[in-house]
Amino acid sequence: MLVPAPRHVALNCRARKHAIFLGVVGLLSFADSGRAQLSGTVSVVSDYRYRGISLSDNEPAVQVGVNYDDATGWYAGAFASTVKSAAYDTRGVHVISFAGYAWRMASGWSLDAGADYSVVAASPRYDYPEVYAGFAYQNISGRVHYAPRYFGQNAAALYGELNLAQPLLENVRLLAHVGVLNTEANKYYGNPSGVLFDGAVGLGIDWQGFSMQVNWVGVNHSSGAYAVNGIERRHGLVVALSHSF
Amino acid sequence: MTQRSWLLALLCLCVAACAPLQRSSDTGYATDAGDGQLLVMLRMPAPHFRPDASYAPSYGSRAGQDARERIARALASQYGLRIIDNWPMPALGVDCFVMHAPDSAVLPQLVKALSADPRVESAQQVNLFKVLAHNDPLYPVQPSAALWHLADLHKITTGKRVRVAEVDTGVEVDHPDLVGQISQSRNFVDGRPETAETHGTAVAGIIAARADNGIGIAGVAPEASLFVLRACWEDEGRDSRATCSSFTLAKALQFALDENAAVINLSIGGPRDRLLERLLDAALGRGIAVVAAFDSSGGNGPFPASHRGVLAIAGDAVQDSSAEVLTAPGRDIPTTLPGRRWGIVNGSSFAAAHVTGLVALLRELKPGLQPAQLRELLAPDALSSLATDHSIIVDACVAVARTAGTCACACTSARRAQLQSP
Repeated sequence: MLVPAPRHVALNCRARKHAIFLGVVGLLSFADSGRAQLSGTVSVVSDYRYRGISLSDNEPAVQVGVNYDDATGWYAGAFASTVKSAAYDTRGVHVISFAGYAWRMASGWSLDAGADYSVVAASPRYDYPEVYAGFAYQNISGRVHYAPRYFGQNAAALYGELNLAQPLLENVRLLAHVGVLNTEANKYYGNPSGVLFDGAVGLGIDWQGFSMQVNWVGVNHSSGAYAVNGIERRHGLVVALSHSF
Repeated sequence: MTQRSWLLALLCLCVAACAPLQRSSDTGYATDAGDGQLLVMLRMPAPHFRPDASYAPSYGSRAGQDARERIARALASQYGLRIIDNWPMPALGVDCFVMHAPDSAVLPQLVKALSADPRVESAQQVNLFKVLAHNDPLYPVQPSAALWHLADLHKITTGKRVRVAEVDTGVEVDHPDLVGQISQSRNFVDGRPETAETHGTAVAGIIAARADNGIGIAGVAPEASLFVLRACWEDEGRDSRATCSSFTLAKALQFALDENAAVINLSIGGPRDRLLERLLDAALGRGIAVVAAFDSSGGNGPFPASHRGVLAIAGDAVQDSSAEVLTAPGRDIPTTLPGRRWGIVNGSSFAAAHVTGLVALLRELKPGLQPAQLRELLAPDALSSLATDHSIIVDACVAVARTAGTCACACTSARRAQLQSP
């Protein structure tokens, strides 16, 4: 279902957007480097499941993420993962750049609001912006995302998610996730309800700068969702090995 | 992935799970060595959207932690320090690093320099605290529970399911009078194995010893949910003298906050401590009642009883204090002791334990009671104005009667409560 990248001017437009974004991040880092924290991860995953659906044709993917946190609560970053089209056997990169503001409240709750921009480098027509707002409390977090043209489709999308990371041992956590995507775009691909649920449950282990996650990930419908890829396998086990820095 | 790949992945998972976690760049943390140790707080950003940490929203996630460890290593290198340990404290939005300074260092200057470093949120020396207790077998046995008419109070409230955090030395969790009474037991003292200790076991018994089991004593709040958090360790010998540090106490307070404790008991005393003050403010801001023992002798330092909003409790009348101190039973208290024993203890620590139990009783009746309201219930202004010294005797019957709106003990107390009700 993924269409090979037509080389047109949109690439230059995207490149400019990302150059501006990364420039802002770099400027912030330079301007206040003493108070800021820059962190990142490098990961290998057995399958890149984005909101439950494989963007790597159920094959392994390599991922890199960088994150900048300002002392005042502002943050920005970028994430990139290799992707592969199931239909056209083409490879590319999915990049999400994001920026927002997070703050803690005296009650122990945290709030978070921001925006991100998603680019599938192999298929520029699927670029889309998104805004989100969420919360975190101890081991639970939730977030709502709104995209006016999800993966470039002429349809808005609302995605809600709840995540749990419950410590079991000092360095072992139980991970759980449930998400629901509501978009008219689902109907274009054979899901008449327009609603797609995704879920994950697994374990995460942190060990000396490395993190391993083993999750069972799945969706409730075999049709619908993303323009970029179909649903070849509704569910499966995903292993991710990450090194943070 | 092939079946072999999955087996390999699962094997890696098991190996990683069984491997010991190295928390810091160094080991050998001597918890009783407060001298020469500093606490360096680095900012811990609020959790937020990160596409590379999809299912890891918690504080335990490594996302960002390595960045702070990198900064800590740079600071240690620049200032000639040695990293010993660290502990995230999300209640304050900081990651707390314990660092050891060389013997030649002038700690106040080092703290000043670190505090001025833009990478550092705050810095301070590690302070030591002492538990406030003394054994004196010459005092005659006098069951203190009788002063509060506990049996009458327990007809109305037993502190059922109220979460009480006891920050103290180790507790004998399998003591016959404590079996089943302790919801969670945690050790925040590294380098010293968890063990049953006198002070913590005695405080636990006063708060929540099992009632009506035919042995020992009845706790003030026998159906409370008690968390015993070991942040102090006994000094040489087993005479209930014990020490705690800023770091171990801070870790225990953070845990109490995470577990949504309704009451925190701190039967300790020492110098003012900025990190602990901030954690206490966070607790009070969330409506958690903090009960602290007041050191009448003044030898150990006034903190945390002197902190604004904390209920300061003494076992004896206080003659000279700027703090408003409440008085509760603190002499000749029979309670649980390690070795499946019972014994008599004395001291402000145990007066504080009584009030902690009483607060649990009140919180069962009215969970939403704020710390200031609790203070007013325990020591009504009408009584405060009558006090001839700086201390006000806590009347448990009046407090329960006013909270429950019913006759709690002898009806004289109830009538008194009615008279004092606004």
